[in-house]
Amino acid sequence: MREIVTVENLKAYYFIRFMGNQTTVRAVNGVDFKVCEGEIYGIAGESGCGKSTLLKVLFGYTKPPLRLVDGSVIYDFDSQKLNITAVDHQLLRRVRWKYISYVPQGSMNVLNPVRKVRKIFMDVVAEHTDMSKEEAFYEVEKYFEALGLPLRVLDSFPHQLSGGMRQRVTIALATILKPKVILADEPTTALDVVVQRGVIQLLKDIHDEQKCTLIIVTHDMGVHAHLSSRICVMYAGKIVEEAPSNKMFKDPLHPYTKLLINSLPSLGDRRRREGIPGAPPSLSNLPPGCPFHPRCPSARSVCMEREPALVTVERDRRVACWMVEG
Amino acid sequence: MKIVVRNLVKIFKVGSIFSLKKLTAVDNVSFDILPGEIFSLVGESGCGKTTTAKILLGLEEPTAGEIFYDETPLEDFIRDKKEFLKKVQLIQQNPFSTFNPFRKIEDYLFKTVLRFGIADSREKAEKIIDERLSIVGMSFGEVRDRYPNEFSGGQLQRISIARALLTNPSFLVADEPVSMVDASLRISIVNLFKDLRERFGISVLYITHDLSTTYYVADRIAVMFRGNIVEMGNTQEVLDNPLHPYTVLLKVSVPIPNPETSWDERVDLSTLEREEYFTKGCKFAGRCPHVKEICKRLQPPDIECGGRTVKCWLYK
Amino acid sequence: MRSEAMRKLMYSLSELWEDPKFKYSSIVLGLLIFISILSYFSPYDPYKWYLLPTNQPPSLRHILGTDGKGQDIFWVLSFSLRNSLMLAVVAAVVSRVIALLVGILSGYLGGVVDRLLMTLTDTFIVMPVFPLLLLLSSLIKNYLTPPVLGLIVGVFSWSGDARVVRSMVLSLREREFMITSKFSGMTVKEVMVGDLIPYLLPIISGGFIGSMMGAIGFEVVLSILGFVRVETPTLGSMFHWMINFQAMLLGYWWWVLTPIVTAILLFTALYTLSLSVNEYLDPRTRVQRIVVVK
Repeated sequence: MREIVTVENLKAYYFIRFMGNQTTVRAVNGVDFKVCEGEIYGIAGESGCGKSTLLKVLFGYTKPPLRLVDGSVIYDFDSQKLNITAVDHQLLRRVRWKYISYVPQGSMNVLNPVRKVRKIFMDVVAEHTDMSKEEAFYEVEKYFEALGLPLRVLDSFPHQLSGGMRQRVTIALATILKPKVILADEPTTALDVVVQRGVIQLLKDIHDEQKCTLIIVTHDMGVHAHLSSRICVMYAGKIVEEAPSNKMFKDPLHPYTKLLINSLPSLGDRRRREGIPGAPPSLSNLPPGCPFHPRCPSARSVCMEREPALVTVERDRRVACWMVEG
Repeated sequence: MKIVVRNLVKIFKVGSIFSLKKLTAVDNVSFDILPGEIFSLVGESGCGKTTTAKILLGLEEPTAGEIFYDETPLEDFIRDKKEFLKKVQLIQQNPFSTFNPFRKIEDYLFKTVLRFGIADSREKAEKIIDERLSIVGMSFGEVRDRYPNEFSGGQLQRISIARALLTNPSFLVADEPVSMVDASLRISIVNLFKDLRERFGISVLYITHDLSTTYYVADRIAVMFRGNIVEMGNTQEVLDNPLHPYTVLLKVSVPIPNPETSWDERVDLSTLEREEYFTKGCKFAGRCPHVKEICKRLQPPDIECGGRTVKCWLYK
Repeated sequence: MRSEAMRKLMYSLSELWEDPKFKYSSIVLGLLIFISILSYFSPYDPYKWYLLPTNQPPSLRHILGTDGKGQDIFWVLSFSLRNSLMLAVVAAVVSRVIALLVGILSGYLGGVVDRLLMTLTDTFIVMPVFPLLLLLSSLIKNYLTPPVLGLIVGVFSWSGDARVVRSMVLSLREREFMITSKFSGMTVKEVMVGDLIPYLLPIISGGFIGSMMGAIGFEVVLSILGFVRVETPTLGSMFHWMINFQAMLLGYWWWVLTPIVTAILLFTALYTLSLSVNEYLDPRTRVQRIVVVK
């Protein structure tokens, strides 16, 4: 399998100066991973772990106060390789939407409220291709039919649609040009359960049809279970575990993953569960050693002093924990 | 405290001057909440659960129907605002907008204690506040002199719960208390509700769209759809073996954190939910896999079936 | 806690200082205010005419020269600035306070109160202030001292912002923290002061300087036309006398330029101050100020 996205030692921080105080928020603090062409790669973790920032950097969206400090993100599109972190604005514009597209968090609210949906789509298509108006019109309708979205949505304004429909429209917008890599940030959050299922279904359909690569960020492990083939779990700006999804759920290795999966209530089971004590660390004030050690039930002295590296423990699994290696 | 709701109706007028339509947000809803019970109102957005809660809290006027708090009708009970707010408290959904960013957190805590006469001096109030915060796993020292933006969502939600407990309420309305909280913290907050019920005998109205936490914590459940309660009964019974087709759809659509499971069928979503409010017969008829002719014409009655209430022609 | 607020204020001022607009406006305003304070040390009584030789060009003794009334222009200027600024501040304070009160009561209480207050507000919005002021001045010319004039201008310039405050209050009323305040047993007054005012202050202070400028403008126009007591030294009265004595035709440039330059400086300083403060307070521009450190 060809590796379409290679991330190496990525570090991206927010530099904030507020009221005379200088804070550095280490949102992405040394991340390495590879995504193979055609797979659905899931990034899991709680709020404040840096996963949304990671996705922004993958899209080349580093605006102040976010700054890339180290590392690289390399896309391998068959014909050429692209280091998104070192690319000029012009090239970035050409690449976005056609090769890499991004579905931001809270997408339901990113559609222009004063333009009809059809117009929004036509703008995107016209901007990135040389199609004439009629051709673009036809393409948009064809795409909607292919996705199973009702055509009358095209002639509505965004506020006339339900939240779930807007989300699906945004996903359609991001994928109409059949990009090779789709980055989705919390595509199902804030949606109702049944609508969520519809969105997951849509993403799966697009993936099967277009044979693209999907990178999904969400804190909802249930969504990962249904969508992602491989998952990595982030904590405090770093990856702490990476595994194929069935192995991750059946036999989590990192204490954080174990506690996380065990704290999820599931239908059919009323036995008492316990959450993870404490709270995630502030990314501007990280503890020494392993960032999880203050909350870890198996922490030992080495955990407080030195940070564990992400090592390969099996052919397709990596874990960053002193307890697992030794 | 026992809460009795009978035939509650709330109609909103929507549209412009030229096309005024009546949207029945709450359509003839009846249920009881027994003392010391965790009762869950479950449904997707737009089903009327939040409106029902607002009416119970006196934040909205009902169009019709009766509500009784321990035999006292709502209109009489709410006349003494102070007494009402002492007994009935609220926990809101979004911890980040529950508190005004310009106010210190302790401001809310002190005001709650002092204005409701729980204590008459700041020193005594501080003791009570510290004790309540300890129930939710925090202390006054963590909260002193701090503004809301210095806390995480989970912490704010816990402070919100502590604040609601300060008046020793008999009834708590929790409106989606964990939907904006991280997955790993949800269970600790939900465990809190269980403890509160055991320790203080507080009745809780737990509103949510998340079936997993409902299954875990609620004693009885009412499933709402477009203003109607379509199924109501013991939580385990209803969710282990759902009768109403909508409840089945809800249960099946919950993404279980187990990659071995998957959905066999595809789901079809309605684009404009408003239409479903205005249909004549059963509101779910448009999407129901077992729909019959009668469903499209007449709204089904509430049918008692196996210890539960189901609003569906299938069970006549 | 006080020191914390002081530190924040000091920091905000130092950040504002980086903006050239703020630098200009605070230096110019500082100078003008300094001159107005000097009026308390004036060796000459501004109400006494012909104390000095008339129409003398600037010299070491009279740095801005003397005018046709036999007064030292510099010292007359100091009184004029003091009166005009005071009038402006009175007008601004009066209009802001009324706008806040009307807007909050109307938005928060709603119902009959809202409708009454809004009818009142709309009446004031459409009222032609200038003709009314002309009418008033012809009736009570002798009582129109700068503070009284300021009060009257203030009473006529609150209506626009009252509506703005009201809409802000209407939207704030629906916020979740308002429900929390209610369930925390807060009184209506506590809610207004603690919850509403922090959000309303930026809007109100934005209009403060505008009010000041409007008031000074009115005063100048009324004075030139002779509708107020022009014996009282104000910026407008300086214009009045300068025009009346035909200083331009007679070539007394020091007398002509003083009020003109002062007016230009005053208005530009106030305007740039309001621009820079509004820009600073606007949350959208705050992000741009965040500096990326190497």
